[in-house]
Parts: sequence; C-alpha cells; structure tokens
Amino acid sequence: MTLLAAHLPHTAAWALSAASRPGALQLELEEIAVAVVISAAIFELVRRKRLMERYAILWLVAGATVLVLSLAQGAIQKLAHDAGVDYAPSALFAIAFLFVLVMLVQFSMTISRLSDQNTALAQRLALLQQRLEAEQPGAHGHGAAEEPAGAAGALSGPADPA
Amino acid sequence: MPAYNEAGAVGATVAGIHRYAPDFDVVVVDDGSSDTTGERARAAGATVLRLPFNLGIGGAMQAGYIYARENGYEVAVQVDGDGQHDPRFIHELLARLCGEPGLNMVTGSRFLEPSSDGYRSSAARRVGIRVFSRVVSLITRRRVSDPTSGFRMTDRRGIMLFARDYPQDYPEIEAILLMHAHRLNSCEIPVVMRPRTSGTSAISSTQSVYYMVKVLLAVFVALFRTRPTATPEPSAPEAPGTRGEESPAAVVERAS
Repeated sequence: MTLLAAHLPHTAAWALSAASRPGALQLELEEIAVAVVISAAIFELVRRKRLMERYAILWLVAGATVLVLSLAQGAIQKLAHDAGVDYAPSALFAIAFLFVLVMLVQFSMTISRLSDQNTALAQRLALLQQRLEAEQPGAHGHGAAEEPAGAAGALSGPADPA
Repeated sequence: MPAYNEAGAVGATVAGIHRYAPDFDVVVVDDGSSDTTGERARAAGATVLRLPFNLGIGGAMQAGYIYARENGYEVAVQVDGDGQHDPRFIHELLARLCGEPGLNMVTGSRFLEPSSDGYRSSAARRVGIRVFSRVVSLITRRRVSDPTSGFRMTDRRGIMLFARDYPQDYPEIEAILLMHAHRLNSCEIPVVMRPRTSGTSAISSTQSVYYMVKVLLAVFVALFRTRPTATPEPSAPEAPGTRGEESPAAVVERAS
C-alpha cells in the first residue's frame, strides 16, 4: 500500500484519512458490494430475458458509476472538497441520486409514449372490428359462400367474440 | 368519446338523435363498458366502436373522429350519451356551421342566454367553468362562455385535426385551444341542457381538483407550443366516403 501510495498521492491521502476515520473503509466496501450486487442482478434479469438490453444499459452504467466513484476515492474526495461537501461519501450519494432521478424521468417519458401507442392501438382495433362486423353481418359462416374464400372467411371466427 | 357504462341512457339518446336529426349517422364509442352499453346502442340502430378497454373521454372521442375521417364525413357532432344534450339543437349547430364561411367548430353553450331553465351544473362547478371561461377567452381573444361543453359540431378540417391530435383525460377545454392553435375558428350558440338521466359523471368531486390542475397545466404548456404558421392543408374535397353518401354527417355519441 505504501509503495502504491508513493506513486498515487491521492490514494495515499485517502488511505491516511480512511485510517484516521474508522468506518470510512467499511462504508466504501459496502458501496462496492451494492454496486456489484446491482450489476449482477441486472445481468441476471437480462440473461432471463426479463429486462431489455436498452434499459439494462442504463442500470449497468449507474452501477458502474457508483463502483468507479467509490473506488476512485481521490477523485470523489477532490470533487467533494471543491463542492464544499465535508463528508465525501455524501457527494457520491448525491451523484447516485441525480442519476436515479434522471432515469425516473426517462421512465415517465417511456410510459407516456407507451400509453399513447396503447391508445392508438385500442382505437385502431375498435375501428377494424367495427369494419369487419359491418362487412360480415352474420359472422360464423353466414354468407360465406358469396365471399371469395380466403382471408375474409378465415377471419370470421375472431370477428365475433360472442 | 366514451359511452362508458351508460346502458340506462344510451338507447334513448340514440333514438332521440334518429328522431330529431335523422340525416345523421350515429356512432357510439363504447369505452370499455362493463355493462350492456354496446348492445343497447346497437339495438337502437347505432354503429358501435367497441374499445377493448377504457381509454377515457379523450381517447374514445378521438376514435369517433378517426371513424369520421376514414369514412369521409364532412360534419361530425359529439353528443353526450347520457342524454344531457338535446338532439333538437343539432340542426341549430349545423345551420350555424354551414351558414358562416370559415367557421370550423360550433359549440352549444349553456351560459349564453340568461334564462334560468335548463341544466347548468352544480354551483361549485360553475365557479370552475367561469375560471376556465375567462382563461380561454383571454387566450383565444374570443368569448367562450362554456369551455367545458362537449356538445360540439366540427367541419371536415376539425375532424382531420381531432383525428390526428386530441387531448386526453379532460379534453374539451384543450380542444378549443387546439383549434385556436391551428387557426381554425370556433363559436358558440345557446343551448339548453338536461340533467343526466342515469349513470354517473366521469368527474367526481374529488377528481375536480385534479381536473383543474391538469387542465390549467395543459393550457399553460400549450401557450409555449409553437403555433403552425400555416393552417393545416385544407382537406381536399374527398371522393364521397365509402359510407354516408346520403347522410354526410356523423354523430359521435359520447357520455362523460
């Protein structure tokens, strides 16, 4: 550690401060553990096809960011100091919180878009169903002889849910 | 817009339109009702668009406008399925719409004539309606006395606009502003409305607060949308629709 520290002054500074403040090292280990667990859980969800890759990327980036920041204590210490935050891990949590906030807004946008698409699909379905019923008043075989055999006849089943 | 669980009133409402406005086709949008609204409407002679689940007033109303667009109707009027709108006024709306060139929408207003008869909603709601009346009048620089009225008739350009873009949730007020934003003209004529005969209003008292906030937010945001500089392309005089050649108008039935 001292050897490495000679080459990395930031790390050395942190190691010293961590040693002088009991609990800081343990907290850092917890952060790493959380980041690793989240990343593993996301990976497993993608593997089971319960989560699409495009959304998994967001979460994996979030996990990786927490991991990198908790490892690079020098960077976070400097960042916290510059921002006027006394307790460095608070700065880490603030960054993570902003990340989560951005993702929630992203999800609200996604829900709005899906809701719009859902509405359009429901309207289209109602119009198509009405058209189908208007063209085949009897449904279920009535008048099927007059119709060109094929798609129209094949569709008569689902056209009438009753 | 929806006839949502209006089995008790929808049949009589459809019959009333057939009686007083026989030149209109009636389209009932059954907004995912769990009762027999769709069957009653069909039995009364209406075309029924059955939505697979409840979309709310905006989504259901838009389904009606899409139907009107795709079947080549020149005029559409939206009527509440609960019987609040007297079908005898449909031809007054039509006369005004056809009588004034450049007019794209005519709304039936409860508040234009000072007569005390007719249904004018509860006192608390009238306060809200007056607030919106002020706001909408200010924005459109045109007196809008009853911005929440859903008794409306639009021409082909209004149909095209609403089929493409119609507000969700509580759409009446926003629809006026949408017309205004697309530089289409609307006006009001006085009508008398009746209290609903059955069913319940789509807006309960607890939802009124949400209604106010949501619509005010929507109105506020709409102010910051860019208005199209040109009016939407005038609907090319389309070939007579596949439907409704004898009766060039659709009634889009609604209940709120």
